[in-house]
Amino acid sequence: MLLDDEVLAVILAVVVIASILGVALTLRDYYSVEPFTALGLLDSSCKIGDYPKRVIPGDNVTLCIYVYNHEGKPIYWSVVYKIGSNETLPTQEKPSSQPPIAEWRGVLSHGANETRIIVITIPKELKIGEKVALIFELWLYDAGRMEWVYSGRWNHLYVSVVG
Amino acid sequence: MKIFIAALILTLALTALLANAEVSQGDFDARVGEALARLERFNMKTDIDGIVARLGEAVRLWESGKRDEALRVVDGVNAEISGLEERAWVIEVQFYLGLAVRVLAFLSLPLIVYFGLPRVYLRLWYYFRRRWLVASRR
Repeated sequence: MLLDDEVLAVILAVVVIASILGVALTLRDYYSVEPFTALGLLDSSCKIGDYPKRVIPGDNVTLCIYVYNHEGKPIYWSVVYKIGSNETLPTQEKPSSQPPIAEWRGVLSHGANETRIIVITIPKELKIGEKVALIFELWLYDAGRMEWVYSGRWNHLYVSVVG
Repeated sequence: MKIFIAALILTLALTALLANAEVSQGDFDARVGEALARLERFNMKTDIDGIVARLGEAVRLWESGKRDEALRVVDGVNAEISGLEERAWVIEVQFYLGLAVRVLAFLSLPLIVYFGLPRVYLRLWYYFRRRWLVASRR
């Protein structure tokens, strides 16, 4: 035989592995999506880094939020803005107990993301010298239960309140 | 007669106003959520990005206070989803056929290589040596 048997065997082994990998990847795209969402907090130019460190009560602060959907289905999301402290930060299971100040909503397809510039208001009631956390929680709408469900994703930014 | 027409127009205008005024944030969320739930079965089976984008547009309109416009967009999206639901079986058959063809194509690769490669190799071997002359050695 012109083509050596051993060479053919090696080529076949590579092709069999490639074939199995191809089938697995094709089916994985449709049937085994590991669902997750992501929330990011960015600066006013929608980049990581230049976050405000000091805020003045009553002032507006421009920030940017980033939401990514990998749930395997389209989602209706809401980012809720709260102000809290070390003791009132959210956890993966529970949202912050603080009242919401503002919220932003949107809809995303599977695999899509959205970056949105937001303007938040710093409440006038904050005391000068206080260190507070600007909390952003990601909530998803559950159409079956007809209610918003906390996703377990949140970001927070510590700022000092100055006069 | 004029009074009757004026009263009719006023009633219709008030009804339209009240119908939209009744839609609360919770109702709107439920409408968007319901539309997304109906879309879920078509996810990855056909291109629904345009419909999802229109729902996103409706949410933006609602947030900016253009509630009537937002509700009209949601109604339009619901009509589009109904259209998809009417030909759901065609979409599903197309999707599963496409998937089966892709899987079979991958699975048949080793067979094609096993049977085809030696033949192709042989043909190429002869092709590149077609002008060779065979001479007997002394």
